[in-house]
Amino acid sequence: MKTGARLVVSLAIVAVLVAAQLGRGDDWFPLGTLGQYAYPRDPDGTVLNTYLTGTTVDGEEVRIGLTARSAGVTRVELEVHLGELEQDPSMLAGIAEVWQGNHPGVELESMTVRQTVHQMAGGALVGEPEDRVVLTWVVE
Amino acid sequence: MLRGFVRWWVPELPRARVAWVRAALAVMAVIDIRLFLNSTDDRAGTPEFFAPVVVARWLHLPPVTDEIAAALFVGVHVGAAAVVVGGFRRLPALVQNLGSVLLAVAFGLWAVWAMSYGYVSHDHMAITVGLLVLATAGTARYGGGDAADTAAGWPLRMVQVLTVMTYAGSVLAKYVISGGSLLRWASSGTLAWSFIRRPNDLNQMLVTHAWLLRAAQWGGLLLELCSPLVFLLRRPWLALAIGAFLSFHLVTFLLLGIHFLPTVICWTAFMPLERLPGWVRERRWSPSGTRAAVDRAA
Repeated sequence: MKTGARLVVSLAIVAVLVAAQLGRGDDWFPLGTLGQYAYPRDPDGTVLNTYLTGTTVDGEEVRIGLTARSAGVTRVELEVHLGELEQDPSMLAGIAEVWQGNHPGVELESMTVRQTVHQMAGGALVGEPEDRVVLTWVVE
Repeated sequence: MLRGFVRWWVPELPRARVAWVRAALAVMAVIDIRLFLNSTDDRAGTPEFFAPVVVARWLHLPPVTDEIAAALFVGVHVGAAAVVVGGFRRLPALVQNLGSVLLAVAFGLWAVWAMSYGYVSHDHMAITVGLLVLATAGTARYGGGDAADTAAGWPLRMVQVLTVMTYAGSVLAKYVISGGSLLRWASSGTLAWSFIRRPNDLNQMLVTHAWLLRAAQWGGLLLELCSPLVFLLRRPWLALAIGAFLSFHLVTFLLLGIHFLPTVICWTAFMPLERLPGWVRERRWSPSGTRAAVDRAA
């Protein structure tokens, strides 16, 4: 590789990276938006934590851990897809299958997407969290 | 001026450092796919969540399967092993040269798939691109000493630039995402938000103290903003600056469980690792318990 080619590659990488920051290239990995914790969260807003529970055919309530290993998706990935999930809750079927595969002998009857809601004031946590149900899906 | 510009981007740096940095990144890549970025291995059951990043779309990558993940897993391990042992003089150059290409491609694809399920983490920029550019450096041995050239210097400079850009670029991202105001980001509830999202004993003690959280946001922002200054520093100030960034990562690890190790390891490109063999030789203890260096002096 000649010096000129190296220089061109260098400048192209930096240019793409800068453009990704200016133009919001979130999925330009590996040269995409360096956006972890870059969002200015409303200091007086709410904080949502999404989690997933299931009811087994025996009537037992279980927590479905949102890690790629346990459920095939992580919490943040589930949250990214939340809009689609509300349109089509059957997207949870894949998670049910992966989770049941990792927990032999446990069969799910239904799955519930839940959220805890924390309140912030002046950029700090205040008060106790509330819990809410986003959607429930009966496993087919 | 132009010559200075070119010499900065394509500098002469010690070839031996390539061997050390490549080995450090190779070990990190293996640890990464086993412990941190291990999700590629677990995606085969949820193809409906596949949200390919641009590179994945260009390459027409399908949702990952168990077979693809297994092949990449082996590729990273074989490539990394070849890079690490290939740095020793006794092995043919082909071992490290093939190894570094295999490692760069297998790890790059693994990372692209890992980021293609809806969430992209930015601590993998420097290592992913770094492994690719380091594969262009050619043969490098641990014991190569101070001999320097541009074919070794360019990829090292790129790893340095990518490492620094991880911080400086994130300030730019904060500026843009905050609607053109860093003040807005620094006075936001981002740290409290992240503590609530990832609660632990330590951060729960701090999450109700607004002034502390705001001060920490300013501190982090200023450190990230100052990151390009490392290119102006010489030892020992450079070592001190690197120490500051590593401490920053230690704090974010303790508070948020976010380690950023794939970026942390890229700081090795700033370190004079090529002097390590000489340093060890100088300090090697002789069987009688006296230093070899002292023996020679006597």
